[in-house]
Amino acid sequence: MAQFQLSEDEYVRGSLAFVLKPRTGILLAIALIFFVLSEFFNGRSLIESIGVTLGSAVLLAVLVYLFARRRLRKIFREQASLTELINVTIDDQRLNYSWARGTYLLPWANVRSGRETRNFFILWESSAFGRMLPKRALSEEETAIVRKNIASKRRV
Amino acid sequence: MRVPLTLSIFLCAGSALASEIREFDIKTIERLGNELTRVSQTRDKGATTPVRKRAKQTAIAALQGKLFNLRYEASQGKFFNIHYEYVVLDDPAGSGFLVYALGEGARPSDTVVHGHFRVTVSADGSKAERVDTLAHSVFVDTKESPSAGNWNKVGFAMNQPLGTRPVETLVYASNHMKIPIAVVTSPNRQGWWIENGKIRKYDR
Repeated sequence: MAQFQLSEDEYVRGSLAFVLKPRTGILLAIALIFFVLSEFFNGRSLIESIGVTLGSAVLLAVLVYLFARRRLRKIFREQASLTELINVTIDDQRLNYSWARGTYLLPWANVRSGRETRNFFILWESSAFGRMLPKRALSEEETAIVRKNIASKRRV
Repeated sequence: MRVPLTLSIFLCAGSALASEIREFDIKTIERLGNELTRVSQTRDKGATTPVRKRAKQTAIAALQGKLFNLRYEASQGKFFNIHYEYVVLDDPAGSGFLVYALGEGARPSDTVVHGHFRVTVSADGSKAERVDTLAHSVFVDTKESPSAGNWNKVGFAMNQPLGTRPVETLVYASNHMKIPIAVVTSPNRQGWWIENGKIRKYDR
């Protein structure tokens, strides 16, 4: 049985991992290519077009990152239930989260997709709802079970 | 040509999502949820006549092997001796019945918020016409939970990955917990607020 309690930094990192999907990255890259082409066909040189687009994109990304991080930290501090101690039991059939306020059981069959980041497993129950599982809390055996079960799912 | 084709693909996808479970209009969902609350507290749980008793048995047979297999977690010092109770209601859209498999916690104050099932049974009670799994997962709310910091539980927020409207068992769960439930239906990303047996939409 794994046990964990999210820290503020961990919550922020995990929440950002939810948003930063490979698919989102691909869509942003396509959008940037269109911006570069638009600048180029409006009379700028190719180097200028790339420079202006990438510069603006980096500036926007930094602003969004800082704003999102600030919001997430505020949410974490306001919502005390996020700091609760959570027990997770993992076997080949299901995941079972339990904490002081209740119990949540999710069969692997109903995990729609999963992703592994450096610090987390992200498990999606639907396109809009997922759960993070910090890898630091899992034993080698539990990590292997999660990897095996998300490998058979569609990647996000 | 491409636009109509793309549009038709989107429309097909939309109807596929909508038909994942059988859905009712909001007034009917409210009525069913409140009826579930009332009938689940009676001794016979709606199985009042031979036909309704047969409908219940038909539903039990149809759900064999489909119910969430909840278990006792001795390692956590918690008792999840959860079982399913069957409640028979009239089908609002026909002459048959709706039989609900309602999960129940070990203690009367526990509430299984989601993890219930619904079986549509024919008018003679002999045929299970449809089985709807009303959730992908199970959540059991523990009422006697400590307050976290200086915060107390005043509501419950959740996501419903099935259907485009809240399922009636959430009205039942809200009534049982005596707190509102905020739910987002994933397929259409719509927010809903359930309180005192009523459902209303909210915009994010």
